[in-house]
Amino acid sequence: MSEKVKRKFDITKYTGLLSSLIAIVGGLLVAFFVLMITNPSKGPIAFWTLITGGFGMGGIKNLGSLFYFATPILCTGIAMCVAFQAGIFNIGGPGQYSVGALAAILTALYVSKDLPGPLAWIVPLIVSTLAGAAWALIPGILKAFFNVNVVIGTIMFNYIEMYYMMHWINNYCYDAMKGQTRAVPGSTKLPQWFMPSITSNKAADIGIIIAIIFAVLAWVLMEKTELGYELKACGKNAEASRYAGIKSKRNIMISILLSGALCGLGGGLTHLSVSGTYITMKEALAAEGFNGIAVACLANNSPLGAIFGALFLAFLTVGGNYMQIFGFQREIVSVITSVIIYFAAFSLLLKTYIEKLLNRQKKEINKVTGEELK
Amino acid sequence: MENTENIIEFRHITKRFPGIIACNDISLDIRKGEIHALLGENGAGKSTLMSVLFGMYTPEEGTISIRGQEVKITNPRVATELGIGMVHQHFKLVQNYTVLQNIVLGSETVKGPFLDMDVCRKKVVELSQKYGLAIDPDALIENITVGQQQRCEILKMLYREAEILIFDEPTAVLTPQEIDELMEIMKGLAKEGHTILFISHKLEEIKRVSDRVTILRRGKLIQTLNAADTTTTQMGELMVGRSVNFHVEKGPAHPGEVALDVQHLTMINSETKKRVVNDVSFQVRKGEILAIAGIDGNGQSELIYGLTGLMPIDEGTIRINGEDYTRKSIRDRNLVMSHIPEDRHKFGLVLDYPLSYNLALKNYFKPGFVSKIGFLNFGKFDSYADELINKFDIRSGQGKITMARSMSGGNQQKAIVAREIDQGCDVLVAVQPTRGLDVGAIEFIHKQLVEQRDNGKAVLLMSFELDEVMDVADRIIVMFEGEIMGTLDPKQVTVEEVGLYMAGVKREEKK
Repeated sequence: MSEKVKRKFDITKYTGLLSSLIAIVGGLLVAFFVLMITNPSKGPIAFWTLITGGFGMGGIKNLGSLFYFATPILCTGIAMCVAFQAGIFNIGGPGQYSVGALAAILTALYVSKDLPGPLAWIVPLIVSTLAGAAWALIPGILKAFFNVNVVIGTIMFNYIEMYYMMHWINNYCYDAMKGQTRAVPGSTKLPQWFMPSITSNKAADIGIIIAIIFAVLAWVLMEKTELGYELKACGKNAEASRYAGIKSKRNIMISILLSGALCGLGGGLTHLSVSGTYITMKEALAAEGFNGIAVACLANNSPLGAIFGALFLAFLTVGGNYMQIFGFQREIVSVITSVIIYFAAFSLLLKTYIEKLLNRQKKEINKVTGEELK
Repeated sequence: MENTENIIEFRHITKRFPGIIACNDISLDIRKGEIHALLGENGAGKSTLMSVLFGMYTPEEGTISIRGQEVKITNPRVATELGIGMVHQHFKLVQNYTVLQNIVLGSETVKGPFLDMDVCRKKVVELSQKYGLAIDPDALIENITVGQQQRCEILKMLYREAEILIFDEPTAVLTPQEIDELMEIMKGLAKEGHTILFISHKLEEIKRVSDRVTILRRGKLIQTLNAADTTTTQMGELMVGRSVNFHVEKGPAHPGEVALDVQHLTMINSETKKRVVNDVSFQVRKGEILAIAGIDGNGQSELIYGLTGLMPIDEGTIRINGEDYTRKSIRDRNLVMSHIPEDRHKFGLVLDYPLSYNLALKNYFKPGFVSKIGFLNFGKFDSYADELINKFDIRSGQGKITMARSMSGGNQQKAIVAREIDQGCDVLVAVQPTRGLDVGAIEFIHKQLVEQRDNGKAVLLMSFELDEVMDVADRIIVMFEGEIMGTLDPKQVTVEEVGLYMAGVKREEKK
């Protein structure tokens, strides 16, 4: 009988994909609507630019920008996938990301610029990863040992980070002329390898490759290893995990530290990029941190799916930047991406709903086949 | 009670839930001003009947008349309007509100847009004096005892001018002194003309406080008696009843050495400070099945949690095969003690994991299932799952890749039983292993338990089903209010006798 069941197309396996697609289509429809009421005459062409990611206008060169925008949100996206799968709602992405960024900048400026060869950029990256993890440590301890809500713990740390970072920037790496952090030395920037040639973009570097490698590693960790089995079990049913003898405190710490480390890595990769990224002195949380949540939602918490989620959001960002040509303000891009992110957040909700719907049917089927077996 | 005017008339009430008939054609009259007890085991239908009266369930068949008028009670709000109030077993109070605020919540007196608390306070104080419900109206709920919280609930009903009061197992959470006080309050309320419906399975209390008692068993009304004309023994017999036994095929037990040795185990509820498990000692030998009998809520579940490490214990020792396990981790315990948990969805399974993952839940970290560097061996997962699926006949839509959530309850339970038995531990703890299962699955699980016994395992069975306990066990210990009332031999006692121990009426002399 198993043969018979297998042959049938089983839609329940694709609910994740289905819900992500619905979210994307729904988000784009609302985006179109927003564009049309903002400027009806230019709306359609602007929308076309948005969904073609500007490739119609900028050509292949935009691949470099695409990768540049995708790198940080891929890192924070994987970070969220790992945390969410373990049942830890880490909202501390912005803080962990920015701490990683600052750590990378400071290490590059003061420590690693004269180190031989690749060590000049590898060392700051490692430091940024550790810094991200360290920033997640205290909320992790609060959760594991004192059962303090993770959302609150991590959110508060975002603000602590935001203000404390200003002190560090001001004292150690401020470029008063430009009103932003000093540029990192050339030797500490990420290598470019073959990236400029395949993207026809002089500033392209290997940031995206490193991020994708980590996405694959995170997927292997979650899907193929003992630790991943435990982390997911804790996320899906904490009580059953306890019953099975899994140490929940240890797993809370591991998942939040991993998540923080990946956010920190994202900050490092972005701020060591060849095209150059700087932190400005403004009271705002790093959007990359929050966008990681959207990526994870679109990816249904799968680190491999996060690659596509991050590329998709970056694609919209690139396309959105071209919309200024049609007289749309820069901010409209943020509005549209926000709409899609909202829908992406709904995709988890949608998934639960679709699954419920399908499960009801499936249970009936299972009951029938169970009967037949008797 | 000379008053024989009926305030409530149930006529042919039938309420079905998937697979069971909770109330089966129940007709019952409640007289005005009486204290009427509903007695029955778990699942006898007493709570369902009261939920029907309070509008939480709608019966499929039958009618209810209140004060001579047929009514349709579609939700609790309708019930409240009809003057029916219910004190639930688990209180419904806002923890960080005061007593007064909780009482008036939802039916506040207002002056324009503002609350008029003075009027409310006056009414509450009057009520509390009239009925002897001493309580500080300004105390926060979180700071007062459970007994006082219950008074707050009673005041809530009186404040809404409820005339018919339903108490759902009101004494389960109280200390003996608080129970005495509650009994007085109930009598006082009845004297003032209130009608009280009182759900309980504690025979002594019913005898003490109620005028009449109705006994329910398996959804059917067995008999209504005058409390004064009956004895606790008679009530106990009627409550447990005689039923068709599924006889479990088993030979005599051959108990060997002690595998599980529990001494002076005590667990104290951190909130109520009640000793939920009080100085419990027992031993289980290899080759025997020891059953813990008792009515739900007498400390059996906590005892199991303490034993398996899911809850901390306050005093006592646990030894397995002579080794002290009192402070060992759950993982260490799992290696020597299998556990079929009471709640299969909460503890037994990760519902969103496939069957093969669930079957490996206690093995995934063992050699063969995982490589030295931490990679899972899915080939082993699959072959192990196939082996158990065949051996224990676990049925599911897609075999080992089926999500546990989409399996039937019986097969979910079979999966847990398979996993736990296959651990090969010397001690097997089975808690309510057949709850909610059909006859076929019950028979299968009983057979497995006996087989484990015959293979020289020590089996500890905890069940609320007396028939199951009588049929499967070689020895029975009965728990009541956290203590062991006696150790019984199922071949030498009758069901009725065990029922008396369960109800706390009878107790073995302590040696």
